[in-house]
Amino acid sequence: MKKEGFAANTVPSHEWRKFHKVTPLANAGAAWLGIFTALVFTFMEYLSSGRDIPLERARSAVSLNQVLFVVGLLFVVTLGIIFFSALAWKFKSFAVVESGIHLRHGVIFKQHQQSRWDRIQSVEIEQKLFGRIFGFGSVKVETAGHGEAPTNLGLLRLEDCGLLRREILIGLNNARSGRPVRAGNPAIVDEGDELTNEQKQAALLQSQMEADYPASHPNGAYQQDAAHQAGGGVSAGAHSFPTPNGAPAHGNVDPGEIPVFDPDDLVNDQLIFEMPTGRFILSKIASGATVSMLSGAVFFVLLSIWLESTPVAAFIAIFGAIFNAVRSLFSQYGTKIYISENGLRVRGGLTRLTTQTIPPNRIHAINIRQPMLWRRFDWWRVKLTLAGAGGSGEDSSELVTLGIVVPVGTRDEILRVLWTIVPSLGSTNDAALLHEAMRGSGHGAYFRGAPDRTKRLDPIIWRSRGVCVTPKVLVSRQGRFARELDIVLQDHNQSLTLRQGPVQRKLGLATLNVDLVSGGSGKIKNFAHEDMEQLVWIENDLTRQARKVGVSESIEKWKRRVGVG
Amino acid sequence: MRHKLVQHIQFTPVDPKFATVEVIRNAFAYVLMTLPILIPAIIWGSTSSPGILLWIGVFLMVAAGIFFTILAVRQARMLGYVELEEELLVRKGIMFQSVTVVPYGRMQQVNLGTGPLLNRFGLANVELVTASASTDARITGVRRKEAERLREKLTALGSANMEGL
Repeated sequence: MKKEGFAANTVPSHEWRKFHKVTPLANAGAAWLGIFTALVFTFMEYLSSGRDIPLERARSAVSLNQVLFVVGLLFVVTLGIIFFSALAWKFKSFAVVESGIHLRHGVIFKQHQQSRWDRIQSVEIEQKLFGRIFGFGSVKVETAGHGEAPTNLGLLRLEDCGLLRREILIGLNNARSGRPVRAGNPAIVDEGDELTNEQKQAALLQSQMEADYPASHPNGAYQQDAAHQAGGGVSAGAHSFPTPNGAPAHGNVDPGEIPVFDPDDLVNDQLIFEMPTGRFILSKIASGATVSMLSGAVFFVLLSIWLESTPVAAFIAIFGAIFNAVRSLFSQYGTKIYISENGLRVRGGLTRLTTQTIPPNRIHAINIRQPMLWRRFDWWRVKLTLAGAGGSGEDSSELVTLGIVVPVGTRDEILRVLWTIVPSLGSTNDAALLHEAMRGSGHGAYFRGAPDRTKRLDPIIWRSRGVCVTPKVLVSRQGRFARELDIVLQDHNQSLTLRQGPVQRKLGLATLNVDLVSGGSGKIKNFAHEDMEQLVWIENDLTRQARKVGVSESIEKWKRRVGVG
Repeated sequence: MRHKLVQHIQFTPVDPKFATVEVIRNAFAYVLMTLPILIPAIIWGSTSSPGILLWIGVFLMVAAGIFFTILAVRQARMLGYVELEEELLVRKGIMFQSVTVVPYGRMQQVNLGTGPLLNRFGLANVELVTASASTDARITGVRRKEAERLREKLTALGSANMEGL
């Protein structure tokens, strides 16, 4: 964040754009939601304190005037919130220029947030409840750096979000390849420039959009000027609510679904994973957290029968746990994964739909896990370690902060997603390697297991431990009950640490930590000391080679391979 | 006790004066911590019967102080680093030993730091920062000149071999 005035001169005044006028109303809506939640919580607390609700007494004690006064007060407060948000809206604007993305806001304390092109890590579209109902969203720009808040550009009309995101992505691409940021952007008419690839593509997309989705705007009553501003002269009617269902790439139309605007998917995105809701709910029920919660509930019920009184506090605690579980259910609901020209695109959420695009070179490691109760269904969860993720605060969904891309998938499904991310593990038979990683124990054709003497220190999980290195990845597996494997892409390994504690020293064992952007994996634990000494140097050499060659794909290679765009 | 990890490589130990720094630092800390028990022990220790408990407290503090000072000295002797062709190795620990391997191309930053006590002995700390928060590659207590040399060399190597994340 920079002081006002520093970057203000670098942005010409006509470049500043406004957000949609509905923003203040959305703030008021949020305030109302807050008041409502507070009321519900107060009510709940009152209930939990065990007293009856003195409805009758309340009715006689409270006069009509008092009720009117409270309602009036709420009304005035709402008006006040709208007024102040309108004021804030008036002073809030953003610009997408050569020096990066600028956001300035603040009436009294002016703030200026600048995201440089080379620091931008991801561009997502986010919809909260209000946006989902009325068709608005915001564009969230995340930059590299620990604990830096993402720049949130919103609210905007959903299709403007799409355009803005597209503009940013094109700008990003241009900035990275050293061209002027505006080159090839159809939204901004550039004079006399030869047609670049993106331009052609965008123009093609535009015409396809017009052909596929004639101007039929469900929210046509809303004002169009914001669209003009964001689109820079592209007529707003031309891009109206194309739904992902409508795209020919993934055929079947489901008219009942809430229309979801996806910025670039239009024609080219391919659906590779879709999580059935039934399985998702079942997977949540079959998780360890739920089982312990349920056993807790049973325990308290039995306790209350035995004591012949109800420990209300316990039930409140259980309700809290259920609430948390449901919340995670909300953020991951209906997860879909597409392959797009900009990388993997993950979308999910019930009340708040988040779309995240993950460029292939941002993926540093992949964690695949199977809780014990999922084993009979052969379900797995896939979680990615991403550069530049995290530090986004409570505002982000689990999808974004934790990098969970597949909350639950069958083995075939997760393998399909995995192959999209890493085309090759760099071994002679990748399928056999993965099978060993997911099912094997001890020494194997690909994996080095822990020696027998490990069981004296690590009696339960020692047999499941295994590690395997190839020129492309380091795979480690562990877990007696829940099975888990970590795949680290070799070129993203930051440093290695060999460790040995006193008991390990007695038994001749050691641990190898692989440090990644998000922190260490530290799961290559309790292997033979001599193996680990060797592994440090092998792994060190492999990462060095991998860095020279590059295991992660560039976006161009990705496009060519997955055949999108 | 010897360091059991990566024994085939000769590590450069940090400056021997760092052990002295550790002794002073520990002694100072433990004297400060013992005083609140020692003073009441001197005043009431011989007169009232629970006074003996205070003296036991003092004794325990002194014992802990001696133990941890010796440990710190031994840890200081174990600290070492070595610059290889493409990576830097940092060794530390007695009970929990570790060797960290940081490729030069992975270094984002090299920080120098020193405190009043270290400064008095002409020592400094060198910290290597990678993109990973879990990389723990701090070389404590090298001579200032050596620290400057390390910083310059590592920074130069780091930017020469700089790779993406």
